[in-house]
Amino acid sequence: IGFDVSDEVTLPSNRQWFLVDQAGQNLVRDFVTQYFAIYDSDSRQPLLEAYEETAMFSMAATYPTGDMRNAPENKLNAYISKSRNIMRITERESRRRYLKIGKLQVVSFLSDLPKTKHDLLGFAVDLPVFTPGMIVLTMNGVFKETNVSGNPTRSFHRTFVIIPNSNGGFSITNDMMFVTNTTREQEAKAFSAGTEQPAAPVVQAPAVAPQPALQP
Amino acid sequence: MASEVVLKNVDNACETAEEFTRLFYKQLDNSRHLTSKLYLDTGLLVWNGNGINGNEKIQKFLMDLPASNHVLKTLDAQHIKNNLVSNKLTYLIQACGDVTYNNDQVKTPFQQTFLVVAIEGKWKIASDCFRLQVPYNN
Repeated sequence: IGFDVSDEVTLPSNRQWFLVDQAGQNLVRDFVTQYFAIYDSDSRQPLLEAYEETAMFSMAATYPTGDMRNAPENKLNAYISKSRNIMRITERESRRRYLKIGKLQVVSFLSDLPKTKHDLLGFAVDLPVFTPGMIVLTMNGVFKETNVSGNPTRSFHRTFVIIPNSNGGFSITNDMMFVTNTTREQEAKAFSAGTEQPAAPVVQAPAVAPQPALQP
Repeated sequence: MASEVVLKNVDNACETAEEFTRLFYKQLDNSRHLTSKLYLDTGLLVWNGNGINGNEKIQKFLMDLPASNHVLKTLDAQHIKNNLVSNKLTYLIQACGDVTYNNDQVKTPFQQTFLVVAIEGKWKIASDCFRLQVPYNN
């Protein structure tokens, strides 16, 4: 005799964009479009302009669990060798070394990563913090490596902490990235909406009141 | 060369991330009714693009999710210089791994980023962005 339990897993449906404040929509769209236009270009050097003097960057990478694909394009050596996964990097000295501090170090690190083309229309974007003093922007998506044979697609998760600068613009103070191989599902849908238009929210994000405690 | 204070913060962010995630996923998987205590009263959970604002609503939302088991594969952390809540230490934590729901065999990769702030000697989640690694384009 068994119990009357349902095995079916039903999860709340996904939304592609979440904005804590609708007022952040244009800034987010412009930031994503402009940042990745440079990131995907021949030279990432101009990104120096986007980072604050003592900005920080780190990246963690791992293979998908149980992934048996073993072709050369499935290798993540370009990322794993630089991965700051603190579950494996346990020495304080190494943890410090794998964290890049200072915009020169950050952009030089980014410049050494494989050349890419990001699927901007496929991005999932979350804006959890949007205050006059600080913006936090996180995204999930896929990119294609353009200078590697077979042009493999990778999945990434990335978070930017952005603050206003003295020139009336914005600077990135923290940048954190995760890279892994795409799932078959992601690969099938990658770049399916085209690549030429700028990223735009497809779904209206629900209006959520800004967090009072986080106002400066 | 980074100063001693900066280096101390680098070490602390990592050690806090280890302790925090150990507790967070243990509670989420085994004693979920306690999980919302880890959030600020005004904390924000963004779950696959759904925004849930405030500790009480977060608790209700979490209780409605199916039973879960999270296994972490990577963890990373940084300190934030411009403190989110004035003069409160703020860390950025990125945790990635696999999740299974209802003891199902299917492992889905997930990525989760927390902003935690130190409030009166306790770490509290100011924001939590959770995303399953699935396609999001319609």
